[in-house]
Amino acid sequence: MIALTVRQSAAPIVRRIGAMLLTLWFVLTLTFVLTFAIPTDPARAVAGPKATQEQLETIRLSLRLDEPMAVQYVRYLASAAVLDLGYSHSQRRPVSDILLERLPYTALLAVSAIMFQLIVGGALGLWAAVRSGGLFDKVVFVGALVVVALPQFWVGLVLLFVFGFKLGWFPLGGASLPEGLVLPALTLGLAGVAWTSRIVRATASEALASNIVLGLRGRGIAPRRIVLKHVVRLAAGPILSVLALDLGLLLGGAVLVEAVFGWPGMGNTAFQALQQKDLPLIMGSVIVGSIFVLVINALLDTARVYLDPRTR
Amino acid sequence: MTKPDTLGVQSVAPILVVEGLRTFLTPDRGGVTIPLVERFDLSVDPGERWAIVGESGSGKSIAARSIMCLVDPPLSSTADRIEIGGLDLTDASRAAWRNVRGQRIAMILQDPLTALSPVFTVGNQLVETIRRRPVSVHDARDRSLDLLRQVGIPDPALRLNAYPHELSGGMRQRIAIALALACEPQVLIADEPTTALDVTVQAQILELLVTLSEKTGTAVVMITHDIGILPEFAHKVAVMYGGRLVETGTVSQVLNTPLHPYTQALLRARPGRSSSAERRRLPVIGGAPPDLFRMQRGCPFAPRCEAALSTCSEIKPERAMIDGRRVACHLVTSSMGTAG
Repeated sequence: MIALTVRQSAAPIVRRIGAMLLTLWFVLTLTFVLTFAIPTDPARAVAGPKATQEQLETIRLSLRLDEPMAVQYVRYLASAAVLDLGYSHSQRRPVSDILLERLPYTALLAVSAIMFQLIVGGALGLWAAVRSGGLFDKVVFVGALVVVALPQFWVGLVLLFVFGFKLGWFPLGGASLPEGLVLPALTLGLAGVAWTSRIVRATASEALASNIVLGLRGRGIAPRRIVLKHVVRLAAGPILSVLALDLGLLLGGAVLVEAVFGWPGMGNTAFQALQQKDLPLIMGSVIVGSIFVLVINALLDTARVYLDPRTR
Repeated sequence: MTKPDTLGVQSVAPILVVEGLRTFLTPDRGGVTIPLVERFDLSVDPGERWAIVGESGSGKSIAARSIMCLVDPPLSSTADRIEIGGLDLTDASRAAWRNVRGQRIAMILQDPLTALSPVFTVGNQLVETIRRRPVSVHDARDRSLDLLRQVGIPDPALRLNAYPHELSGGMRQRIAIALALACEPQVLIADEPTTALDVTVQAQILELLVTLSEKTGTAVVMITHDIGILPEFAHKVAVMYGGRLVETGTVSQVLNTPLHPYTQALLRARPGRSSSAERRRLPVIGGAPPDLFRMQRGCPFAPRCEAALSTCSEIKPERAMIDGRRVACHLVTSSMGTAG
């Protein structure tokens, strides 16, 4: 009986990990194929524009670019499996060393932005639903439309100008903690606040009009408790699903935001790698970014399953 | 013994008094206010079981919710008098109503599948409701077990940790009943509590409601469109049509000698117990229920009434007391007048 339960509950996890590995393999393959599609000669990128033909040939051999594509592919997968992502010629260090050093910064920025959008957007949406049709609801609605339409780099620059340059409340860049984190996290999460407020407004309104809430009111449960316990819990599942879908977008935004604020995360690294045509570092950033998205996704899914017992 | 008058025939004070209840629909912008329930009166004695019957759209559910002051914009309701357990709630504040709901008057909703929160355990929802009163978590858990036992749920300790979706429809309705009874209300309003259930389960739930009301002395007001359950369930019945009560009385009075033409037509339209040999077309009430969005004069049933008089489409009939029951019909009152 116990063994049976374990097997039953283990199956989804196994499936989940399988799906993650499959996605990862897909990302690795796509990244590999793209290096052949882009018009950059890896050897030329390493050697620089002044290299002679002989030097290029030597580098090609040392990078084993002369081998058949299939062999390169297998070797590439094998080294990726042991987290060997190659050597960055622009920074003269192994790619995995660079990225492991940068990853915590991006993770911190992304998690802060997610928290910001969930807490602020959730609170705005919830209150708009409670005061549905009122002034607050209308202000949040219009505000969300405006905020979603603002380009992220522009928001970042304006925040920098106002709160960093004019008011001097926050540093103009860099990774000083915690004050250096505030503006980048606000910039990255602002659009998310807008759409989170819209989605929570919709799901919370639906919950408020439901029989569940009618029943609670019929039993005399206090309105505050109804909203903060029941409506919040009912609205939490859907917003996490949407958040999981939009993680990639968030990470894409992180590249811009990190560049604007000089935040030493993976996005900034990827941005510099692109400028330097540092192919291994670009590939590594994409791969580690994908792993990051996959892991957060799995965490969000777990949270969602925990929040809604029907999905267990 | 000191007061001889208490020894005589004494009528019990009603546990629920509703007089002149009106509910309106006020459209968002620039609309006429539409009355959905008009002049609704009800006087329920302790332990008494009432059924409010009527077809869809007759306003019975809205009336029931209005009794508990549970209507939201665009609906609004007022009453000349609402009293529950001797407490005057006619002009009560929201906070006062919140205190009354659950504790003096509780409600069971039609669909048990959507009335319980899917994300909390049965125990969580029961404890939450019980702990509206100052009760420790531990005592509330004990009381939850008691309640589940009372509503006939096997293995209550196990069910306490179950989520609603893990239980059958009948079980869920039993839990909804347990939730309604959690704070020992004196009046229970049940809005079609069996409509969403299987026929066999329907009978069980009705039986449970009867047993509970007899054991705890809780009065029950049940909204239903099923006249067939009246004899086993209710002491008294109120028939609604077009937002108004057309006839109220004891079940035997109303079923055996219906006075109002609508009640008569409703009883005729029941699927017969006639043998298959003489099976005829089911009698129906001709016409359609009144369009509440159109202002109307006279009796709402007049357009469909076979015995309508000329006054019926002109003047709304007042309710009159006849043999201890109330009927709102010109036909009945005029024949009374000629007889008397």
